[in-house]
Amino acid sequence: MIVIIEIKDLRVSFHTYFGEVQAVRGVNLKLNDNDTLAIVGESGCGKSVTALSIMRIHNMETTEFKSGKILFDGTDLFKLSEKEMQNIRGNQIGMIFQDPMTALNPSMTVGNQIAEVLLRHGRDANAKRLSSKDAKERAIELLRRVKTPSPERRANQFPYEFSGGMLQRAVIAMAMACSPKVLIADEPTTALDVTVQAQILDLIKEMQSERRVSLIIITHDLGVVANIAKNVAVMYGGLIVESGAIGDIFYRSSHPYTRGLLDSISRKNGAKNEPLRSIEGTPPDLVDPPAGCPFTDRCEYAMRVCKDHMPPESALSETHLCRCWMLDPECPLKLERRKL
Amino acid sequence: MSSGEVFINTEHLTRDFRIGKDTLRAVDDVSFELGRGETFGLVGESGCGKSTLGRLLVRLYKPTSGKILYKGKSVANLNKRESFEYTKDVQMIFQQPYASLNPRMTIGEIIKEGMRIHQLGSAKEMSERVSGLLNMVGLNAEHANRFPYEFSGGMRQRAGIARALAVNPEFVVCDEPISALDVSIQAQIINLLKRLQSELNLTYLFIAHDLSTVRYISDHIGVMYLGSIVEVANAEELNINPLHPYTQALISAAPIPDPAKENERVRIMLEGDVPSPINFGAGCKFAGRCKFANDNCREEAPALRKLPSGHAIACHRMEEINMVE
Amino acid sequence: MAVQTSISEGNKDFSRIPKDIGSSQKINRVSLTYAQGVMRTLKQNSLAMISLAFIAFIVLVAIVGPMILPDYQKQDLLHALEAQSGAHWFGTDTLGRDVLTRLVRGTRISLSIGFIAETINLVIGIIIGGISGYMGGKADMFIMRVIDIVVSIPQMIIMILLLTVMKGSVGTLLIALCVTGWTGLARLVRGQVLSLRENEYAMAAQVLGASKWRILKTHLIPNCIGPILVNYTMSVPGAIGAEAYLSYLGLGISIPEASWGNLLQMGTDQFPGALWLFFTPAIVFALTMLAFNLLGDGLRDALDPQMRR
Repeated sequence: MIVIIEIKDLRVSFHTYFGEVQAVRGVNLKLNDNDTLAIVGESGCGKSVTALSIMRIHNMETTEFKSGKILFDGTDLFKLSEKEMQNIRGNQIGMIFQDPMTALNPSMTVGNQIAEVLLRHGRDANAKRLSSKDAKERAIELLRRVKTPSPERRANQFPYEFSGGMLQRAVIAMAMACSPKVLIADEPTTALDVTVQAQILDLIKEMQSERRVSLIIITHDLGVVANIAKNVAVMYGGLIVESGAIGDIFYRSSHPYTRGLLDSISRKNGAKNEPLRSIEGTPPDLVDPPAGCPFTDRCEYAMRVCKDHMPPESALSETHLCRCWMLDPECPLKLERRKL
Repeated sequence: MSSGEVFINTEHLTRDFRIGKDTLRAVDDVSFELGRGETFGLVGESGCGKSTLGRLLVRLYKPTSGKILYKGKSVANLNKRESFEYTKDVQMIFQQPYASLNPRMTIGEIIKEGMRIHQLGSAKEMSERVSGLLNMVGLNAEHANRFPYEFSGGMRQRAGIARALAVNPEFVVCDEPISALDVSIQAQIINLLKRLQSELNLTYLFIAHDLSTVRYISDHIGVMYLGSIVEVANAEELNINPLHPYTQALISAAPIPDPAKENERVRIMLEGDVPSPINFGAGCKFAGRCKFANDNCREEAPALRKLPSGHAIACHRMEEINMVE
Repeated sequence: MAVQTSISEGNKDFSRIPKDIGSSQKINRVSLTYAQGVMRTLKQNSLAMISLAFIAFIVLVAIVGPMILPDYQKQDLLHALEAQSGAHWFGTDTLGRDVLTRLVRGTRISLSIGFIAETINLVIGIIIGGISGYMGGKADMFIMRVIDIVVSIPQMIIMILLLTVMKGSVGTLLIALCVTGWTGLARLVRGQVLSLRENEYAMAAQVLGASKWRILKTHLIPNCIGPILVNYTMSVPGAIGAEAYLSYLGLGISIPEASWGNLLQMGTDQFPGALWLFFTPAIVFALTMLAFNLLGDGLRDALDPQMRR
């Protein structure tokens, strides 16, 4: 396995006037070549911040990278200059955003926007820069590839003339324009209608296998994860609380939070008059995060040790890591088998 | 739960919006009824008119034609005093936990506003009631002095529920109250709404874009597509045995949080996006995306017809489609 | 692995503790009102804070100064056009009047005109803009057309016309500044109200049976205070400038009354012979204008909703 992106002990904080929000508190991640890694979690858990750190597109006035490094193909991205970073963004790492409407320039035709990316980074067969005519042709080709009906006409239209699903296709075309090695998709289906979501996920999968691109998908939707991911990292309170291959997370989850997430969406079980299973309470405020496990206050299995000490990462198998005191060999308490 | 009497119902309710020279028919000839203590779930994708329908019911919008009957009385004919009473009886819970609370007011002030408007008690009584309401929705009295920006999404939504309940409503329109929330919080809010319903004998119209959550809170579910209700059925029945091709696609499209099942199942994939609801011609609005559509479908709009099973469906070819399946 | 668990083996307390939902919903952050939040951000902006301090100082001088200084009209022809000295810190003018005393008096007049005129514009603008934005329909159409007409006539021409008809005084200057001055704010408020009323909290109030007036007063106007405040801070120097300009032309406040405008006029008359006559009011005038603009910029940043999360 070739590791294409490796995040080591990443810590990111935001400075607000309430104090320092410790959005990411020591994250380690690996993305293998041709892999699909899903980072799952709820709003404010640090999943987007982690992924955006790879692109380094935060508001630099308020963001502070406290520690850690991100290796892309062996180069430390934090050591690159802004100029070198620009060459990586869009060219080697593509990005798909949650809201396609804001991801595109409203005053420029969709075709021209894709062509612009090609003009900046694209090379022809002889490694020469593309002419604007070639770029435009390739843009239309890309639109056709992402299954835009009548791409020649569509290329000359503005974003507002597109529907949400069509726009997301165009954003995917733009992200794939330079055949990047890595694609980061930040909640790519959240803003779309249910019947369109499945189309977009299928398209991403198709593009991925066709271009052999590694994918990081950030989502709160475990249904999306089940559909697309090979590996999963579950984040909570700025930490990865559990990570593993998709089966580890869905069938052998060992963290009470992962369990709770799975339970609160498994709507198959439970009669109508029974309350839905949910996780009571609210995630912790990361301005002053708890010293111990961030999930303690909401956890059915909470113990004294959880409150005061951060649980270490325990390896359950070669792929499966989990941060929970119940996995400590000395701990008498064990997680119950999941009720299915 | 239902006492059988019709509590609120609509007859041929239609609402148009002018967009430049065009007419957008957001709600198109919608009739449904709801008994006291029941929940009617309304499901559909963005732009299907479900929120407009909700806003018509709380009188944020006026109908273009058709009427709303509340306890048998046409809402359009209410006099001034009755209209004011209606704002006490009929309340709304909103979608956006961030935009639905005034950022300049404390949570306590926000909850008190309805009581102030309807003069429900003295200042002291109102403050006590705020504490009571906060406890009822799973917050605590200390939260009354906080500002909305200090709350998490779920807590804001609870505050929004407390605001609606402060005036003792009988009917609450829940306009996608959980779609903007995190999954673990969604179930909390559904449980809360269900508990409040049984404690306070509330009647709900529950709007959502996702069938899987709605079935837990609804007695009946209506599926909307481009302004029209295409299928209505008992909640379980609709999930187990959807008859309209659009409902079938909607259920099929919802991702299943289980990789094995997700990978082996065959999806009914709809082509394209939901078309724009502007200037629709004759014929079934779903015809453009429906693989069963024939010429008849494109020429004549199907009416919602009741089946012996209790299902109501607007599809010409329902019998043939469901024979094949 | 960067896991710091300074916990020795066998020291782990595995006793169960109950779930603590209350604690998970506890808010650790200090509760800040809107004004407190804005002040916090503003305090980090040193230019804005210096400007605020300068404006506060100038205002204080304008209020207290004339009470402790001698009569600003007192002439002493024997000591006319004298430069700075121990007796006259900023020198004397053509009639031997103390420049400092006249400057302080002028500051009071000019600032009063600026603040009063803009406060009147503020009230008119909020009311008219609020009504226009919230009522919509024909009322809105009518108000917007009236504003269009008022705005289409250059403001200076209206002011000069008015002042040639009427005798220049504080009152007439205020009328001249307020005839057209409210239109900008009215438009601003209308735009804000139009977008704010689509917010769900405004709808919630409507569903609760709140009257239009109540919604406007408690939900919409308070939420456009930010842009209104910035606009106000940026408008006050505009009004002060207009006063100075008109008085300089001899249309506004005329001698023996003092204002920055007529002080500057005398300064240019005696230029370059008595430089202090020009530079003293000019520096105060320029610094004040700068301070208002810097404060306005700072406020705009501090009020930015993006900063508030």
